[in-house]
Formats: sequence, structure tokens, C-alpha cells
Amino acid sequence: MDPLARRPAGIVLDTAALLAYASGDLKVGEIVALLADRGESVVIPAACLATAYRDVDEEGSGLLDLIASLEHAIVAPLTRGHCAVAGGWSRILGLDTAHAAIEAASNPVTPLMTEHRSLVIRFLPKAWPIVDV
Amino acid sequence: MTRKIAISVPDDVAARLEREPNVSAFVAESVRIRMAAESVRETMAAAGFELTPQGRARAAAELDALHAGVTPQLRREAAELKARLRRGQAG
Repeated sequence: MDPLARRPAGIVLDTAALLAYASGDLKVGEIVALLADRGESVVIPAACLATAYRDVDEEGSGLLDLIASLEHAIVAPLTRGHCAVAGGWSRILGLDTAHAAIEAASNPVTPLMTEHRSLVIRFLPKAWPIVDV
Repeated sequence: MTRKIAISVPDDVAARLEREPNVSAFVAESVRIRMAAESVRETMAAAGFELTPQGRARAAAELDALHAGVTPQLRREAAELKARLRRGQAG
């Protein structure tokens, strides 16, 4: 097995974080680069990536292509086993942020980068590490 | 394909390597992570991200502070939530 595929999860990026990155936000960029230095992965929930693609222009789309192709990026699929929970959580969070919260919860205790702190902690433990976008 | 090379390392590094059952694999994986990180930084720089040591330090400080705040209680709550997720019961 590729040792790089065994990297621990370093952060989960939700749609807002991806959109910030796609607009050139350096804070997201520095975190993404730092996690590569540390041998950790950047988890990108597929529902968030798809939603971000919906909302960007051509240049932003190119940057999303780039982040998803980085060696330490993992685009996480929404699996059958998570569909029931995702559906329930999405009533409050929307499907994309629900997927991001599920990915964070599936890799305890991985920080989640989001702009929906107050909503997300209705489902994750209140002390969950969150990086505000 | 592999190549045999001889290297010199500081005492503390040598002491760490002595704890590894497979030093070659350990060194190769460590170097690959470094190579991947260099590739990531080069790719992001080419895309227009002006990454700096100061920005790296800020990112590290923020993430380190978050990790330092992870308590045993939070780990227990996270493990319980993960178990409920596996059962599809985290409503």
C-alpha cells in the first residue's frame, strides 16, 4: 500500500473553505501546504467539492481541480452507510455541510474548516476543533 | 528498484532510527512525505498562492492550539459519535 495513502486526516474542508481557497484565500492555502509538510491529509467531502464547483467561475474551477489532485488530498465519497445520517443532518446543515460534519466525525478528532460553526456543533460535540473560514 | 546508499546522520537521528525494525522503509517513507510536500508547495505557488514562513507559522499555531484543546472527554464523545455513525444512528 502506498504509504502516503495512510496519512492521518489533518483537516476537513467544507464548501465555504473550498470557496475561500478557490478565491485565493491564503489562510486555506497555508493550512493545505502545512498539512503536506506534516504528512497529513486534507479531506474534501465530495458533496462539498461538487457544491463548490457549482459556485465558482472558470478560474476557481481550475483551483478546485488543483486542490483535489494534490498528493495529500482525499476526496471522500458520500457512502451508502452515511446516507441516513446525512439526510437527517442535511435538514439543518444542507447536504454538503452535513457530509463535511460526517467526515470530521468519522476521523476523530479532525478539525473542520467551516463558516457554519454554530450549526455544526448541533451535531458534533461542542468542543470539536473548528477553523472558522 | 532500489539503490544502496551510505549516509551520515546526527546522533539523535541515529538513535531514532535504531528503534525502527526497517530503517530503509522508514527513511524512504519520510523522504517521500517531504517530496510530496515540496510538490504541493511548488504546485500551489505556480497557481498563485504566495506561501510564506509567516503564514505557515500562523497556520501551525492555529492548528496546534486546536489540537491542544482536545480533551479526553472530547475524545470519548467523538468515539461515541463515530460508533453511532457506523450504526447509522447519529440523528
